[in-house]
Amino acid sequence: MGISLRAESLGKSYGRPGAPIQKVLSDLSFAIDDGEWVVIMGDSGSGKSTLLNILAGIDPFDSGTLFLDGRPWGELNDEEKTLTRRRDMGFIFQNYNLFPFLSAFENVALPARLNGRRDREAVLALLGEVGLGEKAGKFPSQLSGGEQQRVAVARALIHRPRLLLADEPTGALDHLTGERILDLMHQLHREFRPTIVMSTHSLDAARYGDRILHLRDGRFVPSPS
Amino acid sequence: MDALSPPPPSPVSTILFFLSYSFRNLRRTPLATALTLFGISLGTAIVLAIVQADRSSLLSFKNAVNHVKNPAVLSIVAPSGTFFPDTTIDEVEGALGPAPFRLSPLLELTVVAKGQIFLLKGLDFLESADRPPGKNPRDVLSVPGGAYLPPHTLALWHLKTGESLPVSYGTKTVTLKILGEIPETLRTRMLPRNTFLIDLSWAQELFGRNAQITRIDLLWDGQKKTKPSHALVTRLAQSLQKDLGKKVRVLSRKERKSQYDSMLSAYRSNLTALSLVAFLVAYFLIANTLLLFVVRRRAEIATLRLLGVTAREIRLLLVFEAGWFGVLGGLFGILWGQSLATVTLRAVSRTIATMFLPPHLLPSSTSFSEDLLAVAFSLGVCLVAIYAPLREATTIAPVLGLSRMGEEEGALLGQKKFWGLFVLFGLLSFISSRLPAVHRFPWGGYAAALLAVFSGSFLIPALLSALAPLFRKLSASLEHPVPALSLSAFTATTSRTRIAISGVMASLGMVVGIVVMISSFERTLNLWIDENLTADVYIKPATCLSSYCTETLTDDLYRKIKGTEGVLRVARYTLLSAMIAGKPSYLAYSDLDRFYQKTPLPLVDSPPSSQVLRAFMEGQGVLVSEPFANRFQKEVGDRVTYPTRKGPVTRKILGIYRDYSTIEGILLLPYGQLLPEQGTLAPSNLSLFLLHPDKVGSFLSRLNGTLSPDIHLLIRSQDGLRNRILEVFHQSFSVTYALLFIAIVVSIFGVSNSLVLLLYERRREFALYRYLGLLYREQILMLFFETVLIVLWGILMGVVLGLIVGAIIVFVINREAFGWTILWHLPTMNIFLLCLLLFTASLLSLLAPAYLLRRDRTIAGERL
Repeated sequence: MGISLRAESLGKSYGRPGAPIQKVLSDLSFAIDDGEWVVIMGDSGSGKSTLLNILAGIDPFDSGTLFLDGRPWGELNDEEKTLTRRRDMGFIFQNYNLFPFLSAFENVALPARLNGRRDREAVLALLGEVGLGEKAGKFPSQLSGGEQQRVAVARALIHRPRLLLADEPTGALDHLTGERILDLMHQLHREFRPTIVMSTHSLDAARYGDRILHLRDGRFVPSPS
Repeated sequence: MDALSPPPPSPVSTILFFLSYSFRNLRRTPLATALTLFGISLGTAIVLAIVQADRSSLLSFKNAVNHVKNPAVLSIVAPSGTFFPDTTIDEVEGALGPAPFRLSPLLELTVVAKGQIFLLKGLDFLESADRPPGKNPRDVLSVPGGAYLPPHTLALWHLKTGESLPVSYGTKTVTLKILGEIPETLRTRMLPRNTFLIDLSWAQELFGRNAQITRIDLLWDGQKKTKPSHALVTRLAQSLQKDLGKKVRVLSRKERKSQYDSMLSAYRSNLTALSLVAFLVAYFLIANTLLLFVVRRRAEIATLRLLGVTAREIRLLLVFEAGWFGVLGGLFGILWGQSLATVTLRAVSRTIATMFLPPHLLPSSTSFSEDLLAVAFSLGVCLVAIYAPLREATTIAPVLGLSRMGEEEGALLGQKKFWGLFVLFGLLSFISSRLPAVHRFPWGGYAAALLAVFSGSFLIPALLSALAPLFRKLSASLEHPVPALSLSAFTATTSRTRIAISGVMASLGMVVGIVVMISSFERTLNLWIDENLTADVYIKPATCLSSYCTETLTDDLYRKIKGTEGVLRVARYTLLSAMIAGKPSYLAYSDLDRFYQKTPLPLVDSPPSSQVLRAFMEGQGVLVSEPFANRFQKEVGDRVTYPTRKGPVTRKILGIYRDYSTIEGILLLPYGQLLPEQGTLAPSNLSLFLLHPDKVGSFLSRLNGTLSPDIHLLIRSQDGLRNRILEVFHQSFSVTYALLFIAIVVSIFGVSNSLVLLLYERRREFALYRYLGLLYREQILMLFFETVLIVLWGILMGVVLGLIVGAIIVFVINREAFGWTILWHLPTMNIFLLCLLLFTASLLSLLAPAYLLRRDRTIAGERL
């Protein structure tokens, strides 16, 4: 079962003393049901990654409110947010961000171990599901980009997170490989039903989601025709 | 060529571009640059401090020997003992004839005032250049014991003009009257800290050295700004020696220099060894920080190569960066060096004071050439240190260089090379240790120690990689993910962690090596004391506070003491300085009555001790100390020539005994030969054996009651003398202890520096931990485990290296530099405590990275 998200008038700015303040997100309001797959589309600099970082609790927001499963996210302290991330969230990045010194197996197993679970069979099974059962012992440098991203997908889901945040998961891949990754995510979404918030440039990728939200200049805008 | 293609850039513009690009890189990463510069400048400062200490001590000693502004062209001294008749002055004047030289006779004594040793120079004020300008020589001559002091002596002891000061010499006490201060010239500033200058005739009269002097200096009195030619001086020296005969020795400036070079050689050899420690620690500190600075930029270098920058140009870029660090690090090092020099100079002063007089060492600012040396050293080390990462960065394929794992692949490619280098340097170290010393400088031993350190540094990555599969298994089996992650990260990032481990290993290795040496020496000394300090009471003149002094007791005093109730036997011992085979050494005459055979310290390569002793007592030959035998390349059965008042005498060497009192060496003769050979019966010290050894206290009371109150003696029990010897022993290692402390502190800085740079380089990794839900304290725990692994590895290898270096120092360097052998002793507890100190202090180095992790935006605040 996924996490439900609700934001009201969410705002985020960046600024240094003496420099003009840059508003990245402005008056953002949305609601995402648990288990829903929402795609955030927008140009570079529109605030997609910032939004994902706020949902992850990595970045604080300046104004508005944000609720995760009805809990006010902004009122939790850093440790509470960190533990929530550990338990309930998974991440997929554009550049995979696997640990180079851990094998595919170890990369996938890590979030589960952080949650106190050591289930070798479950890790191998998940690696098998993503088509890398034979390559469990390989290191990231020994895998192609697509294979690394598949490991990243497995890592993001091994601990059955309730919220999956994917920042341009196919951005560094060719079309065919990207499609395969999305197919995989789709399959695992059907299986585990996490809430997915995915940012992308690609319309083809966006079609995998249940709903598309367009972000422009820090605000959600109606979909372009 | 296509008309549209731009012309290729000129070499000059390419160089200028890379120069500015490299400098811009430094500015772009201020934290990493600052840390790197800090490491480099600290390393440079250490070396500079040692150079200053060495220069200062040498200059101070040289000035203690010279007493005139312009060095003497020739000097006339006694061949053995110290004193000779001042009638020699007339003989020299006669022999000189019309040659444009003037004479400066000198009587040098060591006296005791305010419980400290002072150098008293009796000068002919009418002739001497030391006469304070403007002072009327008649004042000096008319006031008995009128003395001038350097300004620093007056200030140090809070003495004032007109004040009277009692000083002791031998068993007598004399009152000096302070007439004033010598103007502060460069020469007087470098006189030993405790110095009196008085008129020669008063010195002779007051201190019982009538008609005696210790030296005559010949000063050039020709046209101003001219110097005597070398040929003239040589002819004059030969002519004077011929005219004056064998009762004196004529020394050229070069021979005089070699005298104090010889006296200082052991100390300077010790300082050189410590310089080696400082250099190695400095080198690893510099190499560590520079290597890390390059390692974290592999992706950038790979990108440059993909853009078409050639490998040669990359090398040029890195060399320029190393150059910037070298020059800037050297300049900062000069500033640091001044502060460190103050610390080392104090330690050096204490060390020299145990051997000679307390020197007046000025923490003067460095000369331009020394500053240049500092920058050159820093630059040199940076350029050498950049070689390895430069090769790796430019030989690894660009694609690999861009991937994070590429770094480790590159490291893996070099594993076999590391094993090979470990073996090669190890072999070279062994070969070097077998090479003989040159002029008592154990260069082979020093090279062996250096090569051993480098061998160890190559072993680290080889060993880490070989053990990686084991570590991986261990990591997989660990229950908690945090230590498992630490172990995995530690195992995988050998190219970075080996840098930090090398630093700890090198520092601890050198420290342990020296600690082993000191401990071995101390144990040997204790054994030697046990064997030789068998008397119950030891007596010598009260002013004889150093190992050698000119003051003696009298034969009458000896007989009086011998006749005191409770005395079983009195052994006499007289020590005289002597020139043997052109080198300063000692003659000793002793009432020796026994040697031990079955002891840890038997006679060296000699017949049975009973046989040797019998032959010795029958006057069939001499005994020599081990340093003497090594210094003069003598064995049992060889013949040796030594000076006497009737001319040189040659005798056979009967045996070689162990002695640690002097490195110049001692030639030992039966006491009965003292009077015929040297014309005196005055003992330097007496060893008393009592009828009731358990009643030393009551005997001493009785003895004091017997002796006149005007006679001042230094009387020590066996325990008292033992304690004093050990006190002097530790004091002589003052500079060693200071440098050991610096080495440990620098090592800790090195670990901290490395950790911060490692953390800086892994900031994306730590950001990912944050995304995955690792708490701040868990990240610190990770760093803690990694630090523990790094430091433990470094300690383990450092101890092993230290034992090897210790063995080289004990069995090779020590023997060749000082001439004596010492027994190996392993100070287990000291080594353990050192390791514990280093381990604990290294954990403190976590404070900096912990702070950086806390500061969100710097490390863990990276956005992925």
